[in-house]
Amino acid sequence: MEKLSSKEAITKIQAVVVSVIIAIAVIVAAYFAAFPPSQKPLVTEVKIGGIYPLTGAYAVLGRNDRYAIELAVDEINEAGGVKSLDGALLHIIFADSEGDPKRAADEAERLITVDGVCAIMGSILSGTTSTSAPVAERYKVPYVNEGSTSITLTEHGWEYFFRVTPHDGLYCKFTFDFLKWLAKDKGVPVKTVALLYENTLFGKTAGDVWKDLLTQPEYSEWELVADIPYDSKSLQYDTEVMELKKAQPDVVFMATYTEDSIMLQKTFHRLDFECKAFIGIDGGHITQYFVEGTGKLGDYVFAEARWSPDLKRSISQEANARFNERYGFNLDGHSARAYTAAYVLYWAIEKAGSTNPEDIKNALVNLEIAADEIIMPWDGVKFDSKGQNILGKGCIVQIINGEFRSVYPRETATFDPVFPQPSWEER
Amino acid sequence: MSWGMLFLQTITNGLLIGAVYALIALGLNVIYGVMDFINFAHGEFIMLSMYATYFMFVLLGWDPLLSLPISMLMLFGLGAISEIFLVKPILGERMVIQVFTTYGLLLFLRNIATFFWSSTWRTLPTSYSDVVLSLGEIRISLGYALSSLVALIFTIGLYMFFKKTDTGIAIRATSQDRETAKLMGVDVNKIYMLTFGLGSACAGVAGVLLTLVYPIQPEVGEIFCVLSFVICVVGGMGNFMGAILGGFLIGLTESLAGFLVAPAYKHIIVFIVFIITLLIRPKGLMGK
Repeated sequence: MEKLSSKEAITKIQAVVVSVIIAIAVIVAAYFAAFPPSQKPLVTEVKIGGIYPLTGAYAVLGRNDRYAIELAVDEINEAGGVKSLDGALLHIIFADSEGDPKRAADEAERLITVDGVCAIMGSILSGTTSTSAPVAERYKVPYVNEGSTSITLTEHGWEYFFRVTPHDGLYCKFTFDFLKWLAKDKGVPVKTVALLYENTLFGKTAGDVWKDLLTQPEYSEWELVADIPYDSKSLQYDTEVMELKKAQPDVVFMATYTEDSIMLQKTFHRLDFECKAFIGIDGGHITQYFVEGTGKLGDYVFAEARWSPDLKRSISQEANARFNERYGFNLDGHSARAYTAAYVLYWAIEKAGSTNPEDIKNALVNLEIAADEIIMPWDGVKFDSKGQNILGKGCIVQIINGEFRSVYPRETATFDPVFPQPSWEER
Repeated sequence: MSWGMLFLQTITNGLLIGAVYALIALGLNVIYGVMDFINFAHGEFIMLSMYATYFMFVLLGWDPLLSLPISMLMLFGLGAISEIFLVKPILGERMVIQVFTTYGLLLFLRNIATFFWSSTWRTLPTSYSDVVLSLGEIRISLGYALSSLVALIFTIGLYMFFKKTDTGIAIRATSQDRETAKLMGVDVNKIYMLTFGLGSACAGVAGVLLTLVYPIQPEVGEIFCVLSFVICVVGGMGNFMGAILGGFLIGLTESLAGFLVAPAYKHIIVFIVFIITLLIRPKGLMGK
């Protein structure tokens, strides 16, 4: 009897619970039937992943990019967050790639599956981007890349990959366009050019692109008189410079790392190699080490630097001032692009009005940003079918008294370039 | 500049860099010659000396050429200590154990340097390192000229030490026949410590002179390491004069190959010379 009565009691309680649940369900259903949801579910936070080398050999680059992105995110949140999502705040979750391609892929997977991010930013190095972007592609999550410049990244047919920065090919072409303008503007003819580049992926790519461009009618006025790949782990560069002395080019295009850029510049001076200009691309020439290591000998070198803190564009000046106030140093070619990429992603989310990765991807595909909205000296941001921003540009600086002064593109430049450079004796 | 002048300049470059190469390799060969021991951390010893020189210049304002004896002594000390704690226990063991031990030391020193001094590139801005002397049309950097000169003086000094002093003779005796030297009353353990110290002091001098011409960074030893092995093998492993001959040979070959063929092929030609040398004289030019 006891057992039976307790069974009956449970059945009663169950019946009450079930009917309450049914009642609630009916009320909720009725509510939604009466007032169908005109708005999407309320979002208070938009989670974005950031894969950067925060430790290891590239930690300084990673840290600076992180600083720039955090600044951009804070600015966006303080200005009211994502307005199309009722002021939802951006929340960026950083993951450490350690500069390791394998690790970067693992972190991309973790950000998507565990943290549930709706977009990923990353990852400076072409090596880590080439492994983490396919993971995002697999999960159909948009990947906004700020500064990996290897040409091949946009050649894989990835649909969710968006590269904000110009790639190496575009940067190389930009240095050529700069020289064309420079020769014309100064009325100094340039007939012969030499290429001097380190012989691993970075330098070799630049060398190949330059050589390819020289075969095109646009640049056929220049004759290639010396094509010199070199090993950047050499103790001396006398032979390379002697080769240049034999060839007597008007202008030398260079793709260098750090120590070789310093050694080469000193060797140019020591062996008295004269030409009208040295034009470097990224690499060693845009580092402070080059300026410190070469002292006065490094003056008048041109370099494609991606960005320069003296750009004549008020939005750039203001962003740099805020960055400098917060962290105590200037934005550079990498961090300025990271800052820009963070805004690009924000604009896409704003436009999508959704945290659905597919919607954000579609917004990125159709995104058009005007030049005056970004801090880079570009014509704006607009992605082609491969996900490459086609409005990007370079930024040429010249070293004058140990300082980088922007000289090209002219719209944002603050300094009139010196060309041809004075001879070693005149300096 | 005429072809002849360019050629002369190339020879000059080759000789100047050859002197620096010789000095880099010398320490390695001194140690190997006496102890049959290969120090893979040789390049890292050079790197440490470069940092010592750099900091004495930046913090105390001492010119590299004045602080040279101090760097040399520091490296002698480091060498002697390494010998006592690392080398002595494994001396006479199989080659592979020597390789692992000194390679471990290499990694340790490189990472310690990165930890304390970061991977920043540093250059030592002396007043004379960028001065260039002109001999007619031939140009010689004062930095290179000074480092070659000091390298030469130091090498001659070391040579005289080995030839004339009792300790030098004891070292040579040990290198020729360890057991007999022992029987003749030579304290072999002490000789080994001294030799390792001297070899490291050579690295010390090389490091000081390299600061006049090369930027400093924790990874810089890598460049010296491969180079010094090539030089030692061409010149003759363990032979004092071999390191010097090898240094000049490699320096000149590089310069001439770059000039006569193309800079991109200079390393290929250096290694062709390397292989031919080994085919004709398997123990190196001066090897016995």
